[in-house]
Amino acid sequence: MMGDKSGKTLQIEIFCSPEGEAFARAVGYGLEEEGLPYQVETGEEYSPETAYESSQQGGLGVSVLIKEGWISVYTRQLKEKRPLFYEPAADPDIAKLLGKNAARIVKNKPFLEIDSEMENRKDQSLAPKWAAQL
Amino acid sequence: MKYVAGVDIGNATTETALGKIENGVLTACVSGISGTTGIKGTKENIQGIIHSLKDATGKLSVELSALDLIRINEATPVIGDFAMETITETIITESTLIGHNPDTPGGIGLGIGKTILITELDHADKTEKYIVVVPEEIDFLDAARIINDKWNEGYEIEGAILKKDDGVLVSNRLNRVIPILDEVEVIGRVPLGMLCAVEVAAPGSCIDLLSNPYGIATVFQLNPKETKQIVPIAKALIGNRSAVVIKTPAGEIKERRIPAGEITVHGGQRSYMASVDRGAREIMSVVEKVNEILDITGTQGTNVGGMLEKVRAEMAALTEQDYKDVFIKDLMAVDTIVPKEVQGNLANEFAMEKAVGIAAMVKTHRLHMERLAEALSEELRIPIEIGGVEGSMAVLGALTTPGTEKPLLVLDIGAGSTDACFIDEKGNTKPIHLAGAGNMVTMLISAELGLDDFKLAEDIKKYPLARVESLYHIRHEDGSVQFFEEPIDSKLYARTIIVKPEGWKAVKTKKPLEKIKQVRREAKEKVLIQNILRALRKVSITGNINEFEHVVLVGGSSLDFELGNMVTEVLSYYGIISGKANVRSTEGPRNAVATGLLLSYLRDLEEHEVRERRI
Repeated sequence: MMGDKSGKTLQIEIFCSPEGEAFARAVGYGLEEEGLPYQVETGEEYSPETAYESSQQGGLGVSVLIKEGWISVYTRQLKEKRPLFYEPAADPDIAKLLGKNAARIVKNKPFLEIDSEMENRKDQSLAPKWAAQL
Repeated sequence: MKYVAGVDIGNATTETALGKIENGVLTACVSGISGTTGIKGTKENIQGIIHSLKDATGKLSVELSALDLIRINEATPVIGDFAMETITETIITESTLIGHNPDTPGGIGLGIGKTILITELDHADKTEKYIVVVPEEIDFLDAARIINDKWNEGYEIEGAILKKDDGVLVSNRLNRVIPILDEVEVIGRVPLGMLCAVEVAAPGSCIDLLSNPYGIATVFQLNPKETKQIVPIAKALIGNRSAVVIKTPAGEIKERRIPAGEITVHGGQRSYMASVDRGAREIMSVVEKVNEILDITGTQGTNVGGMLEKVRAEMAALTEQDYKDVFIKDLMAVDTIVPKEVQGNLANEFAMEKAVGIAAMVKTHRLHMERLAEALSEELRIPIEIGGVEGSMAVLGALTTPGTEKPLLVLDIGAGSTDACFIDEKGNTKPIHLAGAGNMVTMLISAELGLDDFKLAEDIKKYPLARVESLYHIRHEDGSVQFFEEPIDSKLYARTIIVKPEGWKAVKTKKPLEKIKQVRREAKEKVLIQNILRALRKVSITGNINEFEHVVLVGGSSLDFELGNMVTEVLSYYGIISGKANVRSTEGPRNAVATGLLLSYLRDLEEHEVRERRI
């Protein structure tokens, strides 16, 4: 695996709580299809701060957090301490699409949009509990 | 003391030049502008005229009722229209699939074999080579597992075609590298049991074999006659990173020439004919042959015939003239290449087809300015005069530009027609009206980029482009970079945008910024610059463009952000000084006709006084 000057491996880190592993895989498939390396870190301790910090350090400047039923994508490009994308972890296709979009930040390609079919499957009543904290 | 206003009612704006005249001398002059209300030459214009007048009177702190005279322009009696005529058409019969260019194909290399459904492999003959077709319901994990298993069983699988965007995912799970094409929308229409070739190039490269007619001939063992037939396929695949070609026994791809009809240019002495499918050059050579065009007609029952008749009918309706009395006086044809969806395609393949864009122009009697003048006079209770011809007025106005002198050519590029007027040293004017103007440029941009959206094409024509490079900065088309405090909408990320004064607009196309810019500039060059040269040749006595000294651009279209510079660049080659007008040193290219109307009043006044003194 390639590394950068900070010694960090060039890959996108996906932090997820144990119950979110299935979605972490789906996000990973999205990254893989776009040709980007990634690693999944599972544990209860990962928080929005972990993902934010990971995106700010060297490497590809992108990280993903799957926690409490939400998937969020962080990027170094965004100056603010909030995710660029967040969607409920409810549909593997949306998770895969978020993975592709995370890769597209690095590749500098236009983002894919959630189509109406995916939109209909989304549970609109959920709101990100921790999004307000950041 | 007198207040006199010149009012120019244009297609888009109504402009006023208001003058304060003391003892026959212009002591103050201000401008007013407002959007034109209704169609030019109708009573609906009155609202716009009043707004424009009030804009000007406000600047001199006088009431509208203080005006002594209003002079309105005699509208240029021309109307233009345009159409696009496709000359070639690529047709695929029997679902022979051609090129496809997904973002992320899988694997690399060339695979040749018979198409087979991945679920049907169990019953297949092991001595054959196969390209597997994977429908939507087969997951990429299963697809990869089946292919690996079948390889172990001794099957020869040389490539794969997938419905979903899973090419890389399948490829990463295979024991061998094969080319994999994904995102084939209508996978159900891929013919099965047919010889097929799949090619995927390395990232950053283009396919080599399937974009070469002899490459396709090698794969499918074609004879010279068959090789000639597949040239359109090879042509459509040039520049792709991946492609697939399937040979069905009766299937063929052909480039068909559509009978596009003929154009007849009727001159005083004789008529000339040109076939539309021979392209713009032939049509234009015929148009140029005739000095004074009486009428232009097209073959009945063809697109071009229909289009020319439509222009005629519209003009007849607008001017309440008999259809038979409306004559087409000029025509402009431009060659172009447009992307058209291939008939019988499987994955929205496009082929670049030859086409000709045609603009036509009709001249008529005076528009109904008299009726408008009467209605306006009744409403305002101010005397109204219809001033001189629009072109001559524009010349008078343009001559107030510092650095200009007679002889001079004034160009007003409108939406439907290009209007020019030449004034010689003695002050004699000669107006010229040509087909082809702003709308035709928009049509070319829309067609060549395959946009199907006239408004978007209009914006591309009018405003510069930029690319959103990060969430905080954009790079303008000239290379300069602009940073922002707030993050840019993620929907615009990595996209080409149009930088409009009121906000950005994304151009949703895969074409790079450079290509869009090139199409835009070429469209302006093909229509507007060519028309300027045509106008110069028409007024020139010797037919030599070099004899002119000054060419001045007026009107709203000369506010175009790059046209002025393009014209200056081209005409400097002929030693001609050209550029945008700066009417009265302050107004830029606007207000030329309105100013001309006011100045012509002063000129008439002077002549009148001279005559009186002589008596």
